[in-house]
Amino acid sequence: MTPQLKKNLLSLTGLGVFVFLAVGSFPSTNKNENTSNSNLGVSAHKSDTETYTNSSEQFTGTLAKNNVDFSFDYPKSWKRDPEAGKGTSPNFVKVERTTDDEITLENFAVGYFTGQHEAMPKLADQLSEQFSKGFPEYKKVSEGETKVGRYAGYEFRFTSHSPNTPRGPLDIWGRVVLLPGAPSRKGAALIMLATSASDEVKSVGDVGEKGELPAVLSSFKFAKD
Amino acid sequence: MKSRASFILFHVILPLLVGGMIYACWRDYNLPMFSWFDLAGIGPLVHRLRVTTAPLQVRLPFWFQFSVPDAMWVYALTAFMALVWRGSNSWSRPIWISTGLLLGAGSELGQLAGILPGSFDAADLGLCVCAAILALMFTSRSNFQRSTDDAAT
Repeated sequence: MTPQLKKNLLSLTGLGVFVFLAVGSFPSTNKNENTSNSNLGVSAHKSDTETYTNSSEQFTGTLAKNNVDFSFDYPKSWKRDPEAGKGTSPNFVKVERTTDDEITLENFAVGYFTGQHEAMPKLADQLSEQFSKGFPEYKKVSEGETKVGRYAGYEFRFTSHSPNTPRGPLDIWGRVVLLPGAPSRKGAALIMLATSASDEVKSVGDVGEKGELPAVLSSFKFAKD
Repeated sequence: MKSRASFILFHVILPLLVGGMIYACWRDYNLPMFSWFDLAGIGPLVHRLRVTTAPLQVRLPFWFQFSVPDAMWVYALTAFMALVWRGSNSWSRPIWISTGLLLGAGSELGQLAGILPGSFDAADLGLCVCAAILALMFTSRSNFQRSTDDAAT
């Protein structure tokens, strides 16, 4: 074997190893990539999903003032919370997957968020403080910059424990993603919850990563960028 | 031989480990590597690592989490090829050595052109180019030292 051939073979093998390692970093199911804006987005729309489209005409008061146009898809088996978007609700919309006895498995809500990128850590702290009052044994476990599709944002995750539910004690895991505003639109807060009643979600790290939430999250898009 | 081993350790394996650790600690779970970790039986260990390092994430700049791992990959590949083709005058040498830059920067430019999926990031492109240049600088310096050592002996 000539040295030249040996070098070529070694290079080819090395390149194969490097490409293999790179494959490990490609999103396997494109869960957090916003494919809805690509040509595939429309054709890949499944018949078992509903599309929610937000519009300022639906709201009054604070929600109308802070409205942002967005849309996302969610499974038809999920239910929309009729209270979201009304009265003093901070959310434009909330959809939920529950058990037959109405125990939450996963839910997804979109609320208003008017802060800009630089203010997100501070605003996340404030929001976390608000959440701590609504969840028993609340504990923020992580926070930092994140990405939802092509939108850069800031997230925090939390755990909570509810000792008394019809199913006994349940762990609640939450993930809140703040997406800052752009010159042409306001931002949004994506609030995701999952509970230990879910078979797929096993920890706070799984929220929006396992179960049915990833598909909902990946379909989220603003109408204007 | 020792020189070659240390070269591989510092210029190829270490950058890959650093890039891999950034992915393991702070990137999304929906990557095949996390399935590989589970298959290898180190899934729980990686999860503990993520929980432990989670508070650091808030202090890390965005580019560190999302661009540095790609740059590390380009650096390691360029250094590896430079090692393989050290001392060769073959016409294929520059092609192999530029593979890292071509793949790293090429994928970003492909995204910019809309040919490849994903979103173009100027920081990714800039760091990939810097990584390839740095790899060539450091590896050529290693070559020089090696040549000097060889001449001395």
